[in-house]
Amino acid sequence: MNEIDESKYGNWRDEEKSLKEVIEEFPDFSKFAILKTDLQRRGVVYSDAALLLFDKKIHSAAPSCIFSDSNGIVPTGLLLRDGTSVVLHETGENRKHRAPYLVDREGDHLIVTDQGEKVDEVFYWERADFFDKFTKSGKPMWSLVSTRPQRLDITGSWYCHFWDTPGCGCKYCPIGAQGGEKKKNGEEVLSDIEDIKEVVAEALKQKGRFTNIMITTGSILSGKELLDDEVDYNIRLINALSDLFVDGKYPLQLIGTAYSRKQLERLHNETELPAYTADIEVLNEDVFNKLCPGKAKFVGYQEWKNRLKAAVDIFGRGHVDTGLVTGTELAEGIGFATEDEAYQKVSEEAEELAEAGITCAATIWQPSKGSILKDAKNPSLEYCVKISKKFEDLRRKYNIPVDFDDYRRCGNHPNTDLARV
Amino acid sequence: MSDLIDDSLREKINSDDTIKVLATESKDGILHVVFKSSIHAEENGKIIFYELIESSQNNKNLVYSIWHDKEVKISILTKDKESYEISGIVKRAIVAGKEFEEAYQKVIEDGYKDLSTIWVIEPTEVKNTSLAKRAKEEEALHPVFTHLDRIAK
Repeated sequence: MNEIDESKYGNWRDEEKSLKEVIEEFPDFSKFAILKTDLQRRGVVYSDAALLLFDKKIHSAAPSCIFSDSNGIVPTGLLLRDGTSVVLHETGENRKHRAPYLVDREGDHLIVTDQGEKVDEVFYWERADFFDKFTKSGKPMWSLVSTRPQRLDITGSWYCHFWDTPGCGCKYCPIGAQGGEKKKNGEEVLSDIEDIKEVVAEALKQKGRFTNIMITTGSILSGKELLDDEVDYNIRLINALSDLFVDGKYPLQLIGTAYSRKQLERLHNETELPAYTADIEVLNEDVFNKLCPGKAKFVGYQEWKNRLKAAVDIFGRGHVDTGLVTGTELAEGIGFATEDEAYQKVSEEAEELAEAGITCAATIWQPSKGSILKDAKNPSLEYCVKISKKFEDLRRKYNIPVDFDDYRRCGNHPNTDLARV
Repeated sequence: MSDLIDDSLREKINSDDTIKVLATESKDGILHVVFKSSIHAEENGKIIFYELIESSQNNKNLVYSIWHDKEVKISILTKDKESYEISGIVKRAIVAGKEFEEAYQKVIEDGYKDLSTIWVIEPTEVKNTSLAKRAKEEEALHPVFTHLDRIAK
């Protein structure tokens, strides 16, 4: 795509504040974090000239990510000049409501443009050295573990069992479609732990490449107690990887389902896990129940919060956070009617969590083609930045470190990007 | 390419005998000054240096500077007592990629624990602040700035 056909998108530019206006409105907020927010919110497409600068031997386009089905053609992310990461699960051709940004070329430089005007220089993520290697079991390593500029991303289960019950999948999440496809095709949906360990061992040979490991999984609901099998798997995986490190400890973030106190204690006592995340996704019980019916049915909104608080008791302040799909609280017909109401209500809930030592990590909602809400409209840039700023203000107010989920160890949260200063 | 750093100045900046200092400002307006032996000038006129400590005040200030287009200043003092002040804008923080990994390897080989960031500065002004030069300028521009015994018979 070499030009954006603005006529497809109506008068949206007249209806909300522009990037420049939002940057002026929030002078204390990093302009790079605001740009990152908007790139994710609106999506990006690449010109032919930009893609000529993409070198498959150097740059990253591996689709091995639980939320991506790009088939290895599309760049998986961009870096901004200040080192901010922009995680992009797909390109923006399918966005319905706003014109995507165009990534183009200026000489030998990659730039992001809007309506023909240069916004800033950007850089493709680089692929890891292990991508072309194979495990002893013959699997290509790129298909088992994905990467961000400084993070290894490990997926336990590629399928989420909330989707086993009709109507129980989260409405913004493409995992049901992608994981479901793997399951239907008879593909392995649970990653082999020895394979993963082999890939990580290989990855560690690339000096200076990685600062963190993240383990996530589609929810595994089975076991003597709900989620016991997921916990068992995670404990085995975490301990397998411990063998690769000098004293068995390593920077690691586990993004799991909301475990009971007993399960959290097991994780704490049986592994060296330093940080735990259980994504509550949206900070309002009514919206949560509609957006995440499976999570609501099997765990419940209040219980999810209770489990996060229990995690702080066990892992400590600064070691627990919760991810939000920021903007879904305004999904039409499901969420709040106005951005003002959403901001007020979500802020109240976020403060309750912050007081308990839990940081909210905003992840900008990118309506994804595999999801039920693929054609939905996400909110204004102004709202996304305002609520992200609130989360960061609360984090500072309650003095909660977020080293494990910051710009480098994760890179997908505009609010935790602000923790750099 | 910046024309402000000519070959002669580049050589002075890059000399191991030159003392190099970096001054930055925090988000609260507080000045911070560090010695930075890694400061060097590239052929393209940019100034590069390495930040080893992710959580340092210097690193935070540089992040703040790139976010808000704040100026930073570098002062150098050569072994021949020439000094220069270089003002610049922070253009890039390199935290990943092959360029970062090469610098990281070099830093580790030099005995340091880690590398956080490669910082890239684009010079906007260079001043020769050498004492000898400044003294001559003052004599020419401000002839009464002197002690009388210096000019007494």
